Amino acid sequence: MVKRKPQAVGGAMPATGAGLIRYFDEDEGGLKIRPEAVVAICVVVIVVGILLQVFGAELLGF
Amino acid sequence: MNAAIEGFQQSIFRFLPEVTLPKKRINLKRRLIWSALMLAIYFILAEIPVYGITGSQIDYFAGLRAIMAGENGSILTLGIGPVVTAGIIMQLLAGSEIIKFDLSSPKGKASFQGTQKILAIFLCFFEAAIWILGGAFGRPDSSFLIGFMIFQLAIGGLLVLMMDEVVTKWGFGSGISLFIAANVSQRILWEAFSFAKSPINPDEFIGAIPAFIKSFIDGQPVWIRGGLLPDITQVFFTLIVFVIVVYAEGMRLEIPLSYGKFRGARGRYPLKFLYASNIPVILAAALFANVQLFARVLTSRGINWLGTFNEFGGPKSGLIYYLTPPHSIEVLLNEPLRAVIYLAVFIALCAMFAVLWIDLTGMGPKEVAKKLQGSGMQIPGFRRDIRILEKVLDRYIPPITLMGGIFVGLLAAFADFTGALGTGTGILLTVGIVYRMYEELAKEQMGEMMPAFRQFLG
Repeated sequence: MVKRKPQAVGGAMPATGAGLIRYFDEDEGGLKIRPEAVVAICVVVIVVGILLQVFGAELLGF
Repeated sequence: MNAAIEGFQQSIFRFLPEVTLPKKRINLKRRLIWSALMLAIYFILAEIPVYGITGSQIDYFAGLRAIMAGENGSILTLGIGPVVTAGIIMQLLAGSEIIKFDLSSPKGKASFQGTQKILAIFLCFFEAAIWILGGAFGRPDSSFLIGFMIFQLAIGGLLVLMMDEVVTKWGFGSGISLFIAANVSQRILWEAFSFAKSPINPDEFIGAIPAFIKSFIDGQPVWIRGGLLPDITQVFFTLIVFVIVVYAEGMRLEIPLSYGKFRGARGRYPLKFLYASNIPVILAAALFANVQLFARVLTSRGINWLGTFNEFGGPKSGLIYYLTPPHSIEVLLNEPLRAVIYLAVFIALCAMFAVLWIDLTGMGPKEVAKKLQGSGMQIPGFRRDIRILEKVLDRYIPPITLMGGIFVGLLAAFADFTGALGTGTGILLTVGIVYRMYEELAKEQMGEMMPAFRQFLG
């Protein structure tokens, strides 16, 4: 096996995703949202989206 | 940055939504569950249509849709567009030092991250407005409805932003990569195997493989179908591109090293041939998508500086025409000039983004030398000195960065020209993403089974 070198302290690479430089391990001091809440918001958008397709025309009138 | 601006910045950052960081390390199984959950939600959202669409829809991302993810006409019409665009702008600003960020301090990183997020949120609304006001979904009379449609697209963009953050913090890999890979894979499956009939010619299957089998049974195998339908030749090219990318991903240049503290302990530092991986390609493609978006706005106002579009929404002339790859060999042979110009611009951009990326992420000779020196490695036969390490690395890293960048650009363009399924750039990105996910997964599993190894694996 090729000998792997230990990671140097403080030399951590930034989290990268598809060409974006992101520092997701830093606290940005923003409004904190739990991941469960993100799921909940998505579900609400999905439900509202479906309801709009079904009842939208009657509800909003266009 | 002076104190007043910094204070102002901080007060805005306080209102930015931010997914909480997990308190402790999450095990691999739970992280995979989070990623799968987000992927499922992504697919459902991509099926929810925007309310208020009248008449036919034009896709403003057109040929670049595969890379931008999402689905035109759905809540996720903007896909990863705003997030990636914000990333590019920040990279160019920080790389050219127009805005200076101290990316070695936590505060500077948070500031970079916050600014990027503000930009992404702004772009969600901005691109949504371009889409609706440009008339991609028809032109409703009610200004309330116009506003409501912009709102729906912007919400979709914001959801992608948050979902990406959940995947990156709680899940496995990065959300953006996951969405691109999922979208391209879905497209390849559809184009290869779909039994649905073509809307133009009801006798033809859309899927390349069912269509080929049918023509084979009929006694007249059709290798090239022409037009917009995928054919069996393109399936072969898809496989060829797949193999080349997997091979190139594994190409490495190994720099021999020795460990100073123990005599005889040798190691090698692997430099990947695709040192900046497929990152230059996605940035170049996203840049093209944005040029196209601006051209749409301008043409809808009657300004043709960047080019014009045909009645199907495809580029017809001008700069944008030359920035769209010919998506089949047929077109390539008819319009060689377009192919040459596209190739030149695309490769130049890929090379530039590769160099910029290495520079910004601290993967340059200086930083790598520092890291190696810090871990007690040295070049065998030389004394332990960071300058020697740097000199040796400097001989390899800049050329390999440039060559890797040019190579991925060339490969993506080649794949596009052959009309490979899911677009060439799409396959290139997807294979790279999946390959890296696999590597990461293997590493993680090893780390879970043998916790002592974790510190070596990083």
